[in-house]
Amino acid sequence: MKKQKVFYFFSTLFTLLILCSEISAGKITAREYEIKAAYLYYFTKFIDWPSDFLPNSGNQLYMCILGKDSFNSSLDTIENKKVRNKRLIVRPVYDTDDTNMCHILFINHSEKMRIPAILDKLKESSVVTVGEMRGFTQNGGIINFYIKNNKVRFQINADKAHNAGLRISSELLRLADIVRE
Amino acid sequence: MIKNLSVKYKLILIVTLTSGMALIIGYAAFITYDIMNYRSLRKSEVMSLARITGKNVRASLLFDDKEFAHEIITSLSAKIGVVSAYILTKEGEIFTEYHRSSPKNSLSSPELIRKLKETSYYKDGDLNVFHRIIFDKEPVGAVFIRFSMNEQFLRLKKDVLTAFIIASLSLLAALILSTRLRKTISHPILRLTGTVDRILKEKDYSLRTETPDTGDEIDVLAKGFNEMVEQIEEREIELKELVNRLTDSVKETSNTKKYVDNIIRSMMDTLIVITLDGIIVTVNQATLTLLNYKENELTGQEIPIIIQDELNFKGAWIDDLIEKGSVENIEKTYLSKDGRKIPVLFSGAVMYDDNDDVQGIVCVARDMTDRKQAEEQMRESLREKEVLLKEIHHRVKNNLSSILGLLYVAANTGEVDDNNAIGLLVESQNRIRSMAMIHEQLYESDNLAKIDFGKYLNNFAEILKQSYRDYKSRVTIEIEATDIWLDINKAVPCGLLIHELVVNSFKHAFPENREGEIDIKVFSKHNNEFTLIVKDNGIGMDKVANLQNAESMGLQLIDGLVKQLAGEYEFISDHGIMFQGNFKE
Repeated sequence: MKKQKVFYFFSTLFTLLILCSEISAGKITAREYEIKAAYLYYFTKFIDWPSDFLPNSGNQLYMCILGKDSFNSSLDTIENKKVRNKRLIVRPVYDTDDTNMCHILFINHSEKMRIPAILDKLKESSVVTVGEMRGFTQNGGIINFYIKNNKVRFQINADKAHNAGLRISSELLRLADIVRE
Repeated sequence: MIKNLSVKYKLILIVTLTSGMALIIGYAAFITYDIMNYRSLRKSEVMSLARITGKNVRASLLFDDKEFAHEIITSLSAKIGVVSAYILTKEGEIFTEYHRSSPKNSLSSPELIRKLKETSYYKDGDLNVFHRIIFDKEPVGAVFIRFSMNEQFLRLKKDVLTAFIIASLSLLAALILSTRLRKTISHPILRLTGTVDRILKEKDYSLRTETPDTGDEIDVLAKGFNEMVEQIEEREIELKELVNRLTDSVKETSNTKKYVDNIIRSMMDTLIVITLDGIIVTVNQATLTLLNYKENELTGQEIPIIIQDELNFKGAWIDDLIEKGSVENIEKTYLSKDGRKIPVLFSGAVMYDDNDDVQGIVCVARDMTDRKQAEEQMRESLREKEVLLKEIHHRVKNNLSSILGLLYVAANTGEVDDNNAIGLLVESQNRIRSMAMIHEQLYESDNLAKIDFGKYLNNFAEILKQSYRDYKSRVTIEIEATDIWLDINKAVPCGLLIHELVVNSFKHAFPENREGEIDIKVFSKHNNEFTLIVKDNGIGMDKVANLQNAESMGLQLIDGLVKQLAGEYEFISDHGIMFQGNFKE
């Protein structure tokens, strides 16, 4: 009888802990995409694309979102913002063929399975690919988000970026985990 | 205090003070400049530091990398003076911070928000710099650095100490140098003041100061001083001569004044000097004695106190006197203190100064009391003599009347029957009457010395007519006499002469009852001479000249009387006989 009571107590405590953890994890997730949206915007400020890249883009800088839209309305805050005299255009892409028309491409972890194909398609391109899954940069992605100490951090594949003709500011590089191929 | 110092010490003080002031001003300027420059440099340095830090942490701010930002900010510890540093988010919240030691005061959020501008300010001796971090035209956050200025104060302290040591050494050097150099200035001045002292004490203007012959201002001063003393010496000599002359002149004036004062004092006449307003200024002893006053009782008083008969002082006599300049010997009456009225013979003269302005009036008066009394006595005596003289004339006339009476009795009592004798008696009566009439007229008139001869003649003609009645009806006597006055010595012989001439004409000019006229004229001529003309229009004479040599009594009388009158006469035949005689009055 006593053992049964102890069992119930721990069971209840565990359940509460799980519940609290879930609630907390939910909040972080919501903040996470807000932060990621901001970071995507800030990335554009520290990256120089080759001058011949997307010559028809004019004064617009395209940020493409591939996969599930986890941002909710977070991207609205950065939509149409000016980045070095260019207007930031956020647009969702559904087809990998459309990814060529992006300056920066965020690939949601929902597209985990399509990553190799996407990256392969863009391996000669100067599109800045941003992912949020383990092994992304090792597989040819340029920037990858990850969570550390409850904070959004990012990795940068400097070699890939360099090969893609991108110039990433040292300021950004100093903050990132540099991944070598 | 400084004013009383000698030139020597003044020079040292001036040099030392000037040097000290110059040093202080120089160092003050230098330190001020240094502080300002240091501040400016520090400010610019800290602002640069803030800018660089801002640039370094902007990515950290954007990507919320506090660790990296903290690394950056902590690196500021290498910069001495950085006390605190803050990285602020664009919302004004502290992103990360660094403190060299425990913070004196931390930033509060409202303050941060307010200060989110590019600014710098000093607070509590620290330089505070805010720098806004702008990236791609967007605010990212801010850097705040608090920089301690302690170093500046240490530096300032060091500067002041250095300045003090250098200034002290410089002042010491200035003091030593000025002590040595001031001799070149102070020695000639001291020599000059020494000479001045000696001249003042000894009054010896022959002393001269030594001239440095350097040609500078002190040399000019010394030479100028010598020249001045030389002039003073000359002036001194001139002055002495002048003083001597002046002393002589004063003595002379004093003697003259004494002399004049003595004269005035010893004057028998009174002397009063008055102003034009009639105020008595000066009186002499004679005045005081006469009027029985003391000097202080008269000086300053108005003149009516003395001159009683001038009720209105500014009367005619003063104006008259000023106009004429002087009046002499007018009779006035002075009033003495005891009320006596003293007759005086007054003379006044206006006194002028060197500019011919009226200075006053000098009044001199002589006491006339004795003289008046003497005059009165003399008048009295004269009156007595006149009475006596009249009495004598009266008595003579009475005596002559007595003789006339005797002769009349002798002629009319019949004791004498000879017509010639009677005629002689009558003539004698008339002759005596002519004299008696003169005496009579003299005692009847006021004038005892002379008689109005015209009046006498008229009276005498009546007498003659009475005496010679025979002729009265046919011979008229016309008398024409001017205003002629004769004394008794002339009148008596003149009367007798006229009598003789008229009787002569009665007797000889009108025979056989002829009618005629006898004119008697007496008139004055010049030089106190008078002329007597007795003229008849009778038968005349062939040889008139013989009359003067005739031996008749009448004619002899005529001749004798003319001589008595010391005159001249002549007989002229002109429709009768005319006697003309010229006599002195």
